[in-house]
Amino acid sequence: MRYVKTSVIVLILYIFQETLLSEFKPFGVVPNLVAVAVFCFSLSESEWFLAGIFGALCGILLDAASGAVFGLNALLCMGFAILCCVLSVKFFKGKFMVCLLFAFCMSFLYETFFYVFGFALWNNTDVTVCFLYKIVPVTLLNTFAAAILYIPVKKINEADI
Amino acid sequence: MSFFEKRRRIILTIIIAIVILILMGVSTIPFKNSFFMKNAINTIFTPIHRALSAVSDGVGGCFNYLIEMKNMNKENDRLTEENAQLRHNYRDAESYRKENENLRELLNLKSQGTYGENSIAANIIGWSSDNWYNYYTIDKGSSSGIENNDIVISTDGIVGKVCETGLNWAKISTVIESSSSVGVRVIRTGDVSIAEGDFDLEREGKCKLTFINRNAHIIVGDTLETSGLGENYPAGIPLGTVVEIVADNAGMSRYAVVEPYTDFSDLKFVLVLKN
Repeated sequence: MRYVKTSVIVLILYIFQETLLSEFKPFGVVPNLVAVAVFCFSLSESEWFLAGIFGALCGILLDAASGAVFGLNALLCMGFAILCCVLSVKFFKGKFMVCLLFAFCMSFLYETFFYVFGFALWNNTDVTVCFLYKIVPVTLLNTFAAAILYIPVKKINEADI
Repeated sequence: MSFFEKRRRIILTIIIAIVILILMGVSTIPFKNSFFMKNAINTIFTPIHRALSAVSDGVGGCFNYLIEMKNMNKENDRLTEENAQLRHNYRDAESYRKENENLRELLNLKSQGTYGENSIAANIIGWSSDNWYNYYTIDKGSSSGIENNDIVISTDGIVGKVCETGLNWAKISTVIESSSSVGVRVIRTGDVSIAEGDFDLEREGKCKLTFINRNAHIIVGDTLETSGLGENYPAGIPLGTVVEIVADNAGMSRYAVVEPYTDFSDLKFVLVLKN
């Protein structure tokens, strides 16, 4: 049941991200709410395999709307979901500030990897512009979104365990 | 337990990753329509996007009205004056059009048709959400006759071209997208060049004019249109105006900043020209 509830939350976030947020673009960027939901779910999930599957499915949703090669978001989401889950067992222990730190670091790495595999490898080297005006603002907005999303996702996970 | 039973989950994860990599490879093959998984997901979500786009237009419109009400009178006076000027220009344009038709008949030229006969109007229902690409999603697709590489224009000028087509949706890659390049011609001098997208200028809704011939005399204020070279875009579609010319530190090369006529931050309707 918790997977159904979490999936509904992800779908709502996906639609919100694709329509209203991408039209109004706070601070000129769109926060990746689906990826934030993946990180929050993975932090409160004990089975890394399930976190990876969930990440892959959410990544496929992002790939449907992305302009990048289909599958890039799925791979990144799956990898980072597994990483979040494995690290959370050792370091997280349910602390809210650690969750924000995870969201910050994972968002930064996610966007950096997306830039590297989507652009930098193909000779698009506007590194300063990409970091200042895309990666850093998205990371900060994602961290803010994680602060709002973590508690509902955690409660859904704990209620059905 | 055997080796595989002990590491079943790791092996399954690796298999899933390999499947995703294969899908990535398959998705790069240029099919007529979009990759089937992308097509399926976007076809399902397009009606929701369309509905929410209408809602956000309504909500945004209400807020804009409240905020800008105090400027309405001033704008009204300006528009009345502009309307009078446009009516005068329209009368002139109408007489030129009639003269053009008469001359064509005299020369026995075949009519090449107007945009209205070979175009499809579409609403914009989605915008790029991954921060790295600049594209729009429209509410028409292959079922309406839209195909990849169809040119897309607005009432002001070129917008871009169709880069992906689904059943009832299509994605438009704009001319300010970082991977875009358009062959252009300076109307005043006839010089040809290339207008490319740029990550930095994209934030301001502008693009960059590169490969400027050393002997070209391009100045701020020059107007640009598509040149038709490269066979990506037909010739004669307005692009924009040169707003700045930038030389590199050594002075060996230069590029120009172009402000497109199309306001990409406020685009609601487009026209897709069929090839």
